[in-house]
Amino acid sequence: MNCQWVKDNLSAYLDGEMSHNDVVSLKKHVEGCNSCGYEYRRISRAWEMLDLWEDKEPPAYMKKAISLKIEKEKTLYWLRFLLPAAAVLLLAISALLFYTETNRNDGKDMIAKSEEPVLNIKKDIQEVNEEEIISNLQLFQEKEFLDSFDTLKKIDYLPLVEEIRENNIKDKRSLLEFLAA
Amino acid sequence: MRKIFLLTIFFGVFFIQDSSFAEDVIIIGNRARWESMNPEEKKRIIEIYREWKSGPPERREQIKKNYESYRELPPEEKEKLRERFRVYKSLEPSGRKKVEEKLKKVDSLPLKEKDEIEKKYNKMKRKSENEMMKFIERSFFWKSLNEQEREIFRELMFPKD
Repeated sequence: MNCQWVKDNLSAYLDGEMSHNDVVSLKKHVEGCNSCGYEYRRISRAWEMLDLWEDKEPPAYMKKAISLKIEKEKTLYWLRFLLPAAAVLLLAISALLFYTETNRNDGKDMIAKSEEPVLNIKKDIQEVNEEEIISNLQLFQEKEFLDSFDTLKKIDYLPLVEEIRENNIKDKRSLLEFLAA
Repeated sequence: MRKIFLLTIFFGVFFIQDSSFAEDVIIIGNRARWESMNPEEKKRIIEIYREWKSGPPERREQIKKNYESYRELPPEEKEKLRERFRVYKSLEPSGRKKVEEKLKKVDSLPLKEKDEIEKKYNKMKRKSENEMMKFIERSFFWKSLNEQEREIFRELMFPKD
């Protein structure tokens, strides 16, 4: 047992919270140690003075004020979590509403855009001879190909052109030679 | 059995005599195709129709004639021309111009020589692709082409996927 331990446990001793053996050891130390004795007397005096004070019942308003304060603290405690959660929820709902509204407008635009060619085409069809288009539909679908049809066919003849010319020249030459002879 | 036979003969004769029957079938098919087209496709066809309609009557007749000629071709010829068209379309404008210049020689031939060419070509097309190529390589035309022109011509003559 040292002075520090005694000083740390003086309050426990005065409150009667110490075991019998510790009490005996502490008493023995305090009687022999000036510093601890002085500390013991100082704390004992303070305790005695406190005992002289009258225990008074706190006023009713104080109880009420404390209860209100506690209630307020409790509410604030929950608000600390609820407020950010509510803010996040509000943001999510706003984003969802904005997205839905934008999509709805886009949908309307898309419908309007998709209806536009339908309306235009009806007008176009009224202006043209639809029956003539139907009768020659394949022709119109293939027009680009049909425009080049002659060219495409004539390509086959290309290697033969010079041959024919050459043969004709030969024929003419041999005819001339025959006539000359 | 006899009734079925007679009915078949009757309808057969009826359909053969009625030359517009085939046309009617085509128009029914065309109508169905037209109805199933989306507005964009219809718009494209209407534009082509307007352009065709506003062109000179001779050109309109020529395209109709080309269409009829195309329809009468055997399937393999049709296929060859389609493939050739694909190659022709993919050519650079300068390449197309060169082809058209060469073709002017064919156009400038007198009718008699054109007939001769037609006959010769009909003989030539019975040959295999290899034989045809050998024949072409011996021709004056082939010898007059440079390497790049030969490549284009080979592709046009024997278009492949």
